[in-house]
Amino acid sequence: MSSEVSQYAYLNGRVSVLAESLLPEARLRGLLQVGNEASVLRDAALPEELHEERDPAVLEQRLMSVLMHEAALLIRPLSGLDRELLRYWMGRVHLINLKLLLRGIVTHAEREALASHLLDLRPLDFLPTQALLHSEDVAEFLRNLEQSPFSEMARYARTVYSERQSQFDLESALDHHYFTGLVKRINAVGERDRLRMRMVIGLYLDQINLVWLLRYRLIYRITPPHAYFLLIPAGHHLHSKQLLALAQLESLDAVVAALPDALRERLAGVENITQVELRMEALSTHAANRLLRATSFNVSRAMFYLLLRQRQLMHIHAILKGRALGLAEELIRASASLEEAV
Amino acid sequence: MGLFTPLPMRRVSLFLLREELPAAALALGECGVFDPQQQEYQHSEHGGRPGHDYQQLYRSARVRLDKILAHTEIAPDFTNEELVPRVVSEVELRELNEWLGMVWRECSQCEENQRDLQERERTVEQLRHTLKNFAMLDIDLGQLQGERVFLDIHIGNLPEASLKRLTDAVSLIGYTVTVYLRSEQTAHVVLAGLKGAEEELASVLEAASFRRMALPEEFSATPMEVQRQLRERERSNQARRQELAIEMSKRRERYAEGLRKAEVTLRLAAPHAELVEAVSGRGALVVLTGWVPEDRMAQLRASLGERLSGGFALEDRAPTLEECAQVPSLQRFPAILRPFADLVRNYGIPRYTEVDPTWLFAVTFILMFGMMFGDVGHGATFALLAWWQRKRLKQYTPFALLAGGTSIVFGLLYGSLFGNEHILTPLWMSPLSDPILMLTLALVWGVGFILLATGLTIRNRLVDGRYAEALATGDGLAGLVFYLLLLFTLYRLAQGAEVGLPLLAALGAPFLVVLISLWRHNKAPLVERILIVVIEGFETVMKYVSNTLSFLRVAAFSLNHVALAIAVYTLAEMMQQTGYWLTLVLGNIFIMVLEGGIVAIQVLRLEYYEGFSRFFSGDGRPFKPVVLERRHIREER
Repeated sequence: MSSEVSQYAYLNGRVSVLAESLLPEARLRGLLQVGNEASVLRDAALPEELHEERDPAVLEQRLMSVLMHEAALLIRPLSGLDRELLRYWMGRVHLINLKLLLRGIVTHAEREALASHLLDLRPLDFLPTQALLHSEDVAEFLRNLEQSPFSEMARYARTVYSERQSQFDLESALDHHYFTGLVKRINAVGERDRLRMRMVIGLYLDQINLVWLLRYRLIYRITPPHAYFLLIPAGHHLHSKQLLALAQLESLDAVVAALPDALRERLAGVENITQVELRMEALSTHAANRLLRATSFNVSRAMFYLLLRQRQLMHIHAILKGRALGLAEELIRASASLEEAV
Repeated sequence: MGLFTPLPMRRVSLFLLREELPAAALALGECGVFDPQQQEYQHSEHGGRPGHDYQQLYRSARVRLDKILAHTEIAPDFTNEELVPRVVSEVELRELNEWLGMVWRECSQCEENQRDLQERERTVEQLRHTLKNFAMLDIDLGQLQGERVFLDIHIGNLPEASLKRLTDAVSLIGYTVTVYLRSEQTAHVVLAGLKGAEEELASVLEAASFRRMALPEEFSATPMEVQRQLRERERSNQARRQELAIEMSKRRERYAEGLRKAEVTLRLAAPHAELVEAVSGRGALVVLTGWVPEDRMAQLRASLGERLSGGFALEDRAPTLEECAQVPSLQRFPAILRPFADLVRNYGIPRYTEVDPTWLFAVTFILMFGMMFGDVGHGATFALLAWWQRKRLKQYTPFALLAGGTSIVFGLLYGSLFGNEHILTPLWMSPLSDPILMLTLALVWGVGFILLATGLTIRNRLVDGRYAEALATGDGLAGLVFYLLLLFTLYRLAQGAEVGLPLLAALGAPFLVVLISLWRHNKAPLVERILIVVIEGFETVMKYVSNTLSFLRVAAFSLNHVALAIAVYTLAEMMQQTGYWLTLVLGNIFIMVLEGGIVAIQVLRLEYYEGFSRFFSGDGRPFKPVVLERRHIREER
């Protein structure tokens, strides 16, 4: 324990200070009321004038910059596996850019317009963005991606793409490879961190698996074996067997009814996939929040903080964007998951 | 102006007909004095920004050409005579872009083929490595793969120590163990038995730490045969590599001329493409906005008059105070100051209104280097080496010559020749003869340096119209007065004189102004605000004190130089004749390399942190004119 204290003392202090900016849902709801914005944003350690930003893309970019700078702050004092894990964890946001770039290349989008949609991920940007942006086909894109820290992912995606030249399969391959890599990295850290991470990330993977499964089966009408193949059987509640069984079901109600008790109760009465996603997200949010507050001197806290912070920033973005666009409060509440949060 | 502050600029608006834009771009490119200023553009029924499509085509073609050149390793060779200024039309640029797209697709396919080949070579290498494990197994490896009706076969390795026990244990269920290779206390074995006892076998194998080895599909013959097949694949890969090399060579031949012409065309098109962001206006009339050095206005007018037949209007004015942050900064330095300018720009670009610290940096750097590393011999060696290596050092030669020169001057003052203080009579004194005087002088130097830096801060802020910051902050006038009074107080204390209440009150007054300024600047809640003001106020005091003390290193290194030399001479005197000279030479090389390097770094540190961080914001915009790149490409690369 004492070695953990000395090893993570700085990180622990940093996370504790940053965690003060994680607001309870009730406080976040204050953003819905006119006049409260500045104080809520100040409490969330964000620039007070952010609510005056009318361009949703600029708003998103500013919030993303906050997240990336905080992540860089937490990664800096780490070394070895911990550092590698946290950097990889932030790779999730790189996937957003990667998919955007990929879609732009497949649809031959104008490079300038495509570049303007990319998130500025400094200071943690480790993608060769310019080379990727100027790729003229998927093969060149993957060749350039092989020159980045995502080289393994690129090689895997290339195999998939050479067999089935489908953008959908390619994107799924990127996601799948990312999360498989995440599980592998979590399994490599110390036992205590591993158990904590497996719980929270397991719940997160449950959410991803369930939502993907429902989309693949009910919306894209993908066959059960193909849908199952695209999942990541490393969840907390949903293991291979359950996922295999769920993949064969034909409706949302049937899937919910076949879930393990803990999830079935949580998802009782859901009417669509968005509700499933929000309620499942609340589960991992709750677990991450609990472990963030209840433990100390470990790298998991940094990971959970970044997960919670990203979600909170997304909710803030949804509210501010909704307000800038003049949407109804009900709609904003729903999109910011203020109704569904635990 | 010029040497101490960036050159005065004029904000220029060039009104002209839309059709004349390419010709104007060419004229501006040839002239090379116009730095475009990005303009907001409202999209309207008149379509997008004038030249937007042109710019997109240019960028696409440029990226494609660069990728092709990198792939083919061609350096397009052309002379300035071939770069005859002419307008490159959008149609020509489009055709070029399409041609480059076609060439790049071919190159991209080649890269893909090369990548596949690399992958195949890697596979052969991996298979060859794996085959080593099975080389001693003289059977058809294909027989060890796949499911069989009666036989259960496993291949793998286990610790040598477990081999005997495993052999005995599996014999109980009818399996035999054949060892085919032993390496580093590991036994490589083949286990074979009749089917039916797989579960019992599995538990024994687990207990014995048996690690299964998967046989690659390719291993479907005897190891020797597989080896032969791998050699065959290797030969095929080599042939493919040669084939690709021949293809590449043909491609180079086929496209070299086209790529050369493409490079010329893109250089001619570059000024127009670069200017697009500076264009505003709708319909037939457009406006180009940018910055031009005041002394180049006539040159610009002449160049435009020569190229534009349809007439134009050129308006220019001095920048307003609000525009100052956008104005690019340009200085022209004599060759001797250029290496110093590079080091200053390594820290940042001076703002348009800001004092350029290059001259101050050059003088203080050279002086401090000499003070800290004063030695006639070492300085002369530096200077001679710099002159000898002047072709390699290029523009940094004057820098090294000056450093060596001041080292010689201070060496004469200190009476030091290669660390020996008995040959030359010092014109002043040896540093070690009065260290206190040296330290005092260093402090005085530091005080002067800080006063000058703070004075420049105040001047820069006043020019920018930031009066409150110039007068009331810790690094403004209030801080400067406080610093002077603090020095005076400390001086009186050092002299044993009494420090009365009036002096303390006078010391407190500017400090109070600093605190009030901090208070006004901070908008945090009360307790946090008090805390910030107290801490930052304390920091203001500490910064002045620590920055001043930091200059003690100037004296410390001059003492250090003598001390190191004494150490070298003491060591040398312990040796015989040859050892004596060898130690002297090696010791002096050691001093020059190690101490010389450290002194240079320390001086740079003093300049950057004690000087620049006070008065130099370094957030200016460099002057980047649109230029028709005429230089011979061979010289560039």
